[in-house]
Amino acid sequence: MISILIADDHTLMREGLKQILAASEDVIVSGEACDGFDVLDKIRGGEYDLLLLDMSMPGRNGVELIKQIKTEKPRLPMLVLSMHKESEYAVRALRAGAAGYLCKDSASKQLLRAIREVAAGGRFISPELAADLAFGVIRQDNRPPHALLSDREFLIFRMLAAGDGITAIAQRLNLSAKTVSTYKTRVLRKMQMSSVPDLVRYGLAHGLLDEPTKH
Amino acid sequence: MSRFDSLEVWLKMVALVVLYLLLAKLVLFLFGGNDVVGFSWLASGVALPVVLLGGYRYLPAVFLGALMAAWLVGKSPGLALAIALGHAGTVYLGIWLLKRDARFDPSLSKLDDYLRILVLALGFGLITAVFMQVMGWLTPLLAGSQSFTQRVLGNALSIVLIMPLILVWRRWPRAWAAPRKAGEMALIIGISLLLGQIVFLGWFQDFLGHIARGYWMFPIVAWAAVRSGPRGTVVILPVIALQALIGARSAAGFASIDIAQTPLENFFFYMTSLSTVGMALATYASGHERVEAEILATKNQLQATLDAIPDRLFEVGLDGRYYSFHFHHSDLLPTRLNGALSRNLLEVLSQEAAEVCMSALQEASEKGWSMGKTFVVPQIDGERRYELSVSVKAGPAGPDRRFIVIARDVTERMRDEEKLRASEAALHELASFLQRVREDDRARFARELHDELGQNLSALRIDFDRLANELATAPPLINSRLAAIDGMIDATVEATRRICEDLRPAMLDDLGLEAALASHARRFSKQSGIPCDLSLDREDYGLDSTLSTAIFRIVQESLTNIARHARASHAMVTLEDRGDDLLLSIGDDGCGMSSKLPGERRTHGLLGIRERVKMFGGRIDIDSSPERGTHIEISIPRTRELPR
Repeated sequence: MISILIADDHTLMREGLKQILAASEDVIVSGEACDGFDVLDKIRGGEYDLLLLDMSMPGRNGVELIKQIKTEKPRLPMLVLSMHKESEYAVRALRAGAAGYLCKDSASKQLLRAIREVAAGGRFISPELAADLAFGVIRQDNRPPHALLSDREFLIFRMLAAGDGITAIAQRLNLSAKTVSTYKTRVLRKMQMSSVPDLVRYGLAHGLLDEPTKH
Repeated sequence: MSRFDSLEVWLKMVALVVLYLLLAKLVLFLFGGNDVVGFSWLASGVALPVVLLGGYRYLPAVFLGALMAAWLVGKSPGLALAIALGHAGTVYLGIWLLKRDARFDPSLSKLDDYLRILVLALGFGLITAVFMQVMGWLTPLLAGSQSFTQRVLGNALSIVLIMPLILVWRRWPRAWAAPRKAGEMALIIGISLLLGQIVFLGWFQDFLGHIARGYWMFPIVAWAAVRSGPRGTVVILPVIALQALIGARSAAGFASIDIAQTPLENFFFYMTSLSTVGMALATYASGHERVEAEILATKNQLQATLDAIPDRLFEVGLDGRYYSFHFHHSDLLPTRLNGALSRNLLEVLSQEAAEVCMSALQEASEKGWSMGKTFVVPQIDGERRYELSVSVKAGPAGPDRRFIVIARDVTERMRDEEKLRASEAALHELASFLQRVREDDRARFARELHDELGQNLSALRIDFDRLANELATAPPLINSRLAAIDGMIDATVEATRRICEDLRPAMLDDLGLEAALASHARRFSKQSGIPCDLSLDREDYGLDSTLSTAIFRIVQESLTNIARHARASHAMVTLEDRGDDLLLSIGDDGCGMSSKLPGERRTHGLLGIRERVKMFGGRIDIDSSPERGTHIEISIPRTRELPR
């Protein structure tokens, strides 16, 4: 039996969730909280197998609340329930210590599955966000620095490495010289280099300059 | 050159040739047979100024005239040809030399110009004489009775007398149309004629003969010179010369023995000194007149300029003493300044105002000018503020230096400027207040929509899903109704979410600026199809909500502009933490803002951005052109006391 604490400031929402869970054999709602302080009180007072947490409750900022709970109850799995479909929310919630992130829209279909997975020590992400997040994860892997550059940044990187000046690049790309310098700063920062000669060396070493650009 | 001009030149040439013939005839008639002077004697005085003024194109006419004149007076064709060639060549040489002298003024406004004519005449006479001499050696026909000196002086004289006449009278004087002036001129010419007759032709010889001498002519020439300038003088001189010549020819009067004893030398030097004196006086007098006219014109100009200046204008010494003043409207005079002349400004002005004036004088005496110092004078209708500008009068430095001081009443201007500043400040405050109110309202609406409607919809969805689940086996009619409701709920949820986001992105409050910017940039790219590179150099900039909102709104507005107007293929947004301030750059590679495209919306968008930047004490720099796209660079200080 998975004992859970539901934290949501809307009674209607809590009722709805309880009804979904009532249909299941293995989940029991052992407590309810209606704002951030309430949640903290409840988890300090009782033991739960899982916290079902609404991210946007009055009082504390959602991410901060997750962090706080994580420090107080590091072993309590948290499934975040949210209205927001943007991956930023999921990323912040997961990074702050949540084990799962579920959009409210898909609650009726996914809630039980999510609770079971998270309670078993696993992780869960709403299918709507899976694709977005996958790219975020890929970005974390150890590809060469130039792969981190956007298309435009890569183009400007190659022009810089080929010895083109800011003004020449600006003219060819129809950009303000200032925009190009901003790009240059960004390229150097992303590549973790300090000067154009570094870019040239890198370009040569990785065979990125083999097609000489025509002027 | 138009056809008409060219016709005119031809006519003039023909006239010149005819004139040569007539003048040769005249000389023949006056001095016929006796060879005192050559036939081209008068004509050279005409030919030189014609070529000088009209150009070398008249040389052929000069040549032809001389040729026909020589033939007219009975020279053989070969000799006539040689004489005409020599004559035209000498004219060419003389004019060529004269034109090389850059200082020569053909209107003979200076004595120098007249002296140059004198030298030219002598040179011309000399060359002609040498030429005749050589010809005389070659052909006995031309040996004649003339001496070398006679030839030189004879040829020179006509030039000295006729050339100035033509040069000076080239333009008709307007002033002489005045009856008094014309009357005086007629009187001068009449007296001159009479005196000439007496002196040179022996009129009234019985009782004046022994005292009628050449010097009689000097006073009348001096009179003509002083009263009429070169114009009158150049008329009188040839007349006198003609009278003298006739006298010499008929062995009467003052020049009676000139031809016989001195081959015209006495006559020539007499005429030369008479005309030099006359022309010297004339040019000096007319020069003086011109300068006087210029001074008068300058004075009038200055007076009118002064009258047009609405300011008070003083001349004061370094010690503050008034020397003169000029007021446009004396009734506007500050009463305490009345009768200020020859007093000291220290006595007239308050101590504070006087100190300002003295420091302005001091500054002007050091720098040469002083501007912008202001002081206050209390008056019946309240205080008035004056602005000083001071210049130094030219002259030796020292305690006697004088200054021109303009005191401009700037009371209204200062008041208006003050009002303008205040109203501008109020406007900014209002704009900033409205901005804040609007932002707060939007945030509240978004929050309420989200909390009330959004949450209710989520709950509704859960309930509905359960219900739909339980009714899975219901008749198809009910199921299709359920599916419709399902779609309606989805659409409503989506609409609510969109309205909330448009009002104010929840992420800005929930997750902070960084996440909100990332999400917005992504949404922008998806909706507009323009890739947008966002680069943030911090995970968390630690900005307060107001500043975060401002930066977010600026980026939002800029990206909206890019999507709407820029026709860009790339956009980029960079936020850089520089310690004390943040540097926000937004760039694109589109068509720039200078195109005709931007309507009011765009200008307003930019205005909003500027207003926000100003609110935070930031600086905005926009670089935009069709060739370079648009680059907006904004720096905003991190810490700033916000107007509350």
